[in-house]
Amino acid sequence: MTEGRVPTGSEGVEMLRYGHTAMACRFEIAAFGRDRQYMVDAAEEAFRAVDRVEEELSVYRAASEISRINALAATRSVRVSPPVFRLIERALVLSGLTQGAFDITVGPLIRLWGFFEGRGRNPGQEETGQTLKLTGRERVLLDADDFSIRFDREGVEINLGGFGKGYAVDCAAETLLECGLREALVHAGTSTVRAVGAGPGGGGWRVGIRHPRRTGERWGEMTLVNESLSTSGDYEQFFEGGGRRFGHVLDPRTGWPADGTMSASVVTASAADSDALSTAAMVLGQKSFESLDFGGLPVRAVFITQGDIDEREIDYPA
Amino acid sequence: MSEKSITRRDFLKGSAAAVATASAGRAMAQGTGSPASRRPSLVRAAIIGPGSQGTMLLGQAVKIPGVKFVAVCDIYDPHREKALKVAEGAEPYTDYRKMLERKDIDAVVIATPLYLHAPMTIDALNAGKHVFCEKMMAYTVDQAKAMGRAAKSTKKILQLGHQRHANEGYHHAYRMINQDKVCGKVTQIKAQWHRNGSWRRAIPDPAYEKLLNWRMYKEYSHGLMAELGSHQIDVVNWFLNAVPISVMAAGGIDYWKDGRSTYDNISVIFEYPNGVKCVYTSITTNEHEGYTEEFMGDQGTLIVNPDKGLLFREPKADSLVWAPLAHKDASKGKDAIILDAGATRKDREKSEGEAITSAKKNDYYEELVEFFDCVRTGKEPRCNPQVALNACVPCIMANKAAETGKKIKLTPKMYEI
Repeated sequence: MTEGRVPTGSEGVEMLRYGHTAMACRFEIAAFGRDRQYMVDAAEEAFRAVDRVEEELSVYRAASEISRINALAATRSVRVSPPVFRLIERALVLSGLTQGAFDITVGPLIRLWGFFEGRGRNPGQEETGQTLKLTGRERVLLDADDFSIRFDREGVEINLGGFGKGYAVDCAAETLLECGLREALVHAGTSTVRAVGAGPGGGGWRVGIRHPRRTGERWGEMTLVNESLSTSGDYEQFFEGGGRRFGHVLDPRTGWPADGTMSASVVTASAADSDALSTAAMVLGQKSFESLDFGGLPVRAVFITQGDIDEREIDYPA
Repeated sequence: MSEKSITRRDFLKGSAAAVATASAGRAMAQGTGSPASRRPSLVRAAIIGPGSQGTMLLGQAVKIPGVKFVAVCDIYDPHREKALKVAEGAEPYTDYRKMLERKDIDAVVIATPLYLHAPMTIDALNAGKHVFCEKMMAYTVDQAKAMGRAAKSTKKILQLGHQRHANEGYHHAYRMINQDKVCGKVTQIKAQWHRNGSWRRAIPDPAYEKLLNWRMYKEYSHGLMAELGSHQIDVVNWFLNAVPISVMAAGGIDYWKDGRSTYDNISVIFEYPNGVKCVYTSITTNEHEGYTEEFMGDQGTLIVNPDKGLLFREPKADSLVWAPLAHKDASKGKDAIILDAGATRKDREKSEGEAITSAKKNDYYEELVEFFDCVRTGKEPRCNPQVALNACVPCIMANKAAETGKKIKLTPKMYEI
């Protein structure tokens, strides 16, 4: 994903690459420093922060805060820790900023389309319409006085998904900073990466954007300085039917898979935000995304659409 | 009075009370009790020492209905600031004594380095606060006893943080060993906490090395035995309804030559009454075995940790009536019964009846729910001063045995508060 060279003139500096499996993907930290064991200790501390995030946010952990909310919030208010409350609050703000294109309540729709089970199906308009009644940020009621959360009806659920993974990347990066590491890169899978510092040599971290149709190839590159990059693509999971390709990124407003964009990459300060915004960018497409008001949040985006790729070169997976 | 009768009496009394309070605490936590219990009176709380463990505890405690954290105290700025994000609206302090002067604080969570547990706990109790103090109980046996006496004289709750007492799986395992006798006569225990790493926090400013890496230094901590081993000796004591009567050990700083003064590995043999032995190891160079407690009896072996329990029956043992109903798993080349399947059909039905709220819970959350429940009701917590002292004495003495190379006898008097 990035260049892993120690710059010349940096005697005693070495690069550490350290990995950890969490949230169903491989987290990796690349760091530069003079004390290898110190970097290992810091990386382990950062991964402990990731594990704590997974424990609190994963819908696959029965004891997580999100599981508790999903189990109980339709019948009563559920008190959560202030950090989780603020995270959910931020997710709802981002949902508003993106006019609903990013939505943490989209779970029932993803299930309807069979993407949780890894095999897609087209449910049709009626079922989709029914399920849409269970989604939308209006379904989630927050009480900031008591840090409690309630759903306005049965069947609503929240799933922080990639946003939670981005938040875990943020927590890991902040832990590295607290440990005094000034040059590091943290990524979760290959979809979200956060750069700490300006990279070896000080010219920024050069991070690749994958080719949406050619596995293992880069389509381009972006340079990050204390920023995060997230990429959302139609290649991650999809099915084909009726001569159409249905990607796993659903448009929460219509209940149908987003169409027209092969991949959207968004750069902003925090990895949680870049993760949410890349999903929204994928749903909205370039024109609509660029017309959004981000309220002063610096955002850069790169879109790859059908027109950007020479169709003869497209390497569809079997 | 013989050693055996003292320890058995103390422990049986403790564990019977434990099961009763556990049910009450859970009913309240889940809002399944009376309408009054769903709206518990507000407990105002504070925390001293929100470092890594303390902030984690704080993160659980702030979720508990009817609990409000009004103050956080730490002398290390980054920890205090982080804690204020978890306990929004709380007032920050750097002097815990000043914080304890506040009359509106009912309860204090203490998660400071080991050597500070006793002075801070005693000050808090004397200031009229209920106290939840992290494990191990204290740096010295005398300090631990003084904490127990202070709780008694002030009539305040003192709960210690051996959170396995809040894990239903451990209660289930206790019943299987002691009531269902699934292992037959338990003769040997093997327990370990094996990690592969320095166990060191990365501290950017060397000035804070000892403040934050206090687990590495003998003047502040008893290292592996205190921070890890005490949890497991607590479980062995609990399950055997006994305490160790002697200890011998070997330890060293043999791999991490980084200036630490607490051991990076230790191997211990604890002798319990009736010839039962517990072999305990804690190392920092290999994590293959992780952390488990393994109870070996003439009819079977039960291996437990906070996430899972596995029962292996001996080849010569009769088959259990309920075994066909149990979930099974292949482990170590043998068929094991998974503990969470339930020892009886009744247990299984009960767990299904509890529906969604009986889903796996967080042990830290549950132990704190119990603590605040005890604060409101005056009930004795499961991990009370006596239970914690019983884990503290053998762990302190294990290090002493390793340092002196001598077998140390642990007398009943050592366990008396």
